[in-house]
Amino acid sequence: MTVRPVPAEGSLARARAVLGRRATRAADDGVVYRTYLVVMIALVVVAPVLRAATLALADAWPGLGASGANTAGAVVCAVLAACALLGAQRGPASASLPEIDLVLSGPGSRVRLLAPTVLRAFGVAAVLGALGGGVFGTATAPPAAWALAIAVGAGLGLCAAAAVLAGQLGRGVRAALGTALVLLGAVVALLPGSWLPALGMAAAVIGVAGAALAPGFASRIPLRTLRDQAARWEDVSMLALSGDPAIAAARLGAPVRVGRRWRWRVPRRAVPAILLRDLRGALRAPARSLLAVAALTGVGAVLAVATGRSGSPLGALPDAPAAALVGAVAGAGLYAALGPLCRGLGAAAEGIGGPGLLPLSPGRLLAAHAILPSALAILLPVLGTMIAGAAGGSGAAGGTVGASGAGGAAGIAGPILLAVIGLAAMAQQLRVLAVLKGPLPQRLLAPIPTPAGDLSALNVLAWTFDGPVCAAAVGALIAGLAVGAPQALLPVALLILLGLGYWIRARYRTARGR
Amino acid sequence: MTSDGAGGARLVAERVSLVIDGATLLPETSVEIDAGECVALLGPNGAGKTTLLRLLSGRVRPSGGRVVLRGSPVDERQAATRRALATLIEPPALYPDLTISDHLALVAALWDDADPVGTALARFELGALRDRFPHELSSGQRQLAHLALVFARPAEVLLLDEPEQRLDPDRRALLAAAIRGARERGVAVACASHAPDLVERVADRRVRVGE
Repeated sequence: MTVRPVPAEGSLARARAVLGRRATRAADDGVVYRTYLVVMIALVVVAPVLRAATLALADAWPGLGASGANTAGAVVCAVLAACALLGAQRGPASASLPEIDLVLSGPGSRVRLLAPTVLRAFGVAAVLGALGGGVFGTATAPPAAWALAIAVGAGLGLCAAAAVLAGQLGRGVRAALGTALVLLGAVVALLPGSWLPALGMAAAVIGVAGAALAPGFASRIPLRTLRDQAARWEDVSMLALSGDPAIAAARLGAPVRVGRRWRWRVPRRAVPAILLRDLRGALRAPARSLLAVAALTGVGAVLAVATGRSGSPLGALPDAPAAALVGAVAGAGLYAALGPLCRGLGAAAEGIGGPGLLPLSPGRLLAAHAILPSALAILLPVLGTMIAGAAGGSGAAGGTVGASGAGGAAGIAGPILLAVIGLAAMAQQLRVLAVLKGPLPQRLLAPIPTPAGDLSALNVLAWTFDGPVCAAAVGALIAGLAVGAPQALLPVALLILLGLGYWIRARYRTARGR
Repeated sequence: MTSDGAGGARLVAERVSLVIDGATLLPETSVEIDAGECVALLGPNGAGKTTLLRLLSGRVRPSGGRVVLRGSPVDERQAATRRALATLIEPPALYPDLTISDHLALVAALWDDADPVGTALARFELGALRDRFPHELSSGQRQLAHLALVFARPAEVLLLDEPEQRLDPDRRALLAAAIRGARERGVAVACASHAPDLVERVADRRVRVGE
């Protein structure tokens, strides 16, 4: 039997024709609705947020002094490093499972098959980058430089897309690129400010080159990687839409493969044994743990800057509303950063209703698993606060970190420290609540008829995103109070902690009865 | 599996039943399991075998009747009950970042008189899988890992719900040997099963549920 070769171009054309018919079938009134949704979200949510961000940045930028440009450069490098890590989950090279199994595994050119998706992703990244560049330029530069800022922003957007695509190539590439970008960020933070525009332009050129080469790189990504990512993404989308974001987020973490032959001597006492277990778990997912540690420390520094009084070395934000805005982001950031450190807690909560494998009550097991993330949730943000204090003190003095830097760190006390510790503790409590959550209660699906339609979706949304939304809300409240009414900070923080404690108790009881 | 076995535990369900919102999940049923005895719970799907095991484990309170161990009511909230009863009804939650041998080491460290890791692995021929993480196991291997963990901890009573699920004939033989070994050490075993070969090998008595 002879196998007749299939002409690649012919098969590609036939595949496109079939997929085109599928697209035609899918095209209906949904497109109009989606367009309406995008326009309305842009008008109601995106535009006000961009305006607020521009105004806050315009106010804060002069306060950052000469270090502002370096900080921005270092932040860009950190974001690009995060983009490279993001490639482990999803990236510009993507396709649906049927497309991967039926089309990409065929004889057609993968460069041509993947090019439209890849270039579309690069286009979206360029637009988002241009938007970011526009916000940055409008807030910090004279009108003559706005066009340049937008162009550099678009180029950096392309760089970000290229970093994600490179991250899709494999673990080694991700590690190398991530490390290189972090080191570059450190160098950028120390460079004279005059170098930064040139570096920005160079990055933009690299981004454009990356976009041109992207389809070729995309074709080098192993099919298995594309398939794993597509399957995981499908699971995550389904779980997220069905109201189970905790499980959806858990699916995003790549399975652990590090340190399978590490032997351990388990302490005979339960609490040290569980603590050691959690530490091993964190070490076995080094990238996620490092990211969590960096994020927790960074959030502490950001909070310190946001809650520093106007006129003080850290007082970059002028008033309570601006501090509250940053506090909301910091609260949500703390909540997200704690996720990778709470895997043991999650496994313990999963086993609450089932047979106990260990000789501990479910409550004690949960409490033991909460020790490590709770300790890190408080210690790392405090460390970040101290670092910000030292840097702020030295920056304000216009000298190197020395006596004045130590003075800045020592100046981190009272409301700032209280806000950081309180918010960190609250974020950890919200994490405990999240692992105890369980499935969506059926009663939340009951229709809520109103003249505006059925509002039961709001119930589901509130249930689905209660963790990050509560974290953002308490973050805004705590940061706002730290700046606007520091005397009320302690009682309010204690009340919130107590309320969350009661909420945990109620969810724990429900989980045990499940 | 080890057991203090002093005097032998006797698990007794006296006319237990479970009715929820008018639906009868388990009609009135009585069963006694003596130390060193294996009772096979038989019946078609939906007969109430799993429900009976949940009642025996103290995880669900019966609507009628009672379950007693050594004369005291069984309640999983009591540490004594948790110490006495090892169950494989729902699979235990595994840590995604611990290998199989890590899990067994944790069990061995925290339970007095638990089996050493090597013994627990050997019981179900899991030596080759000792360094695998849970997500790297097939469904049958996962079932073996669950069995290894449950058999590794000390207990006076062992409650198993269809432990033969997804096991090939050779692994079923290992399971039968493990149950017989537990029985010989004085452990009371209740095992719901749809596998006649397993029941034939391990059961001292058969109880039909739902009739």
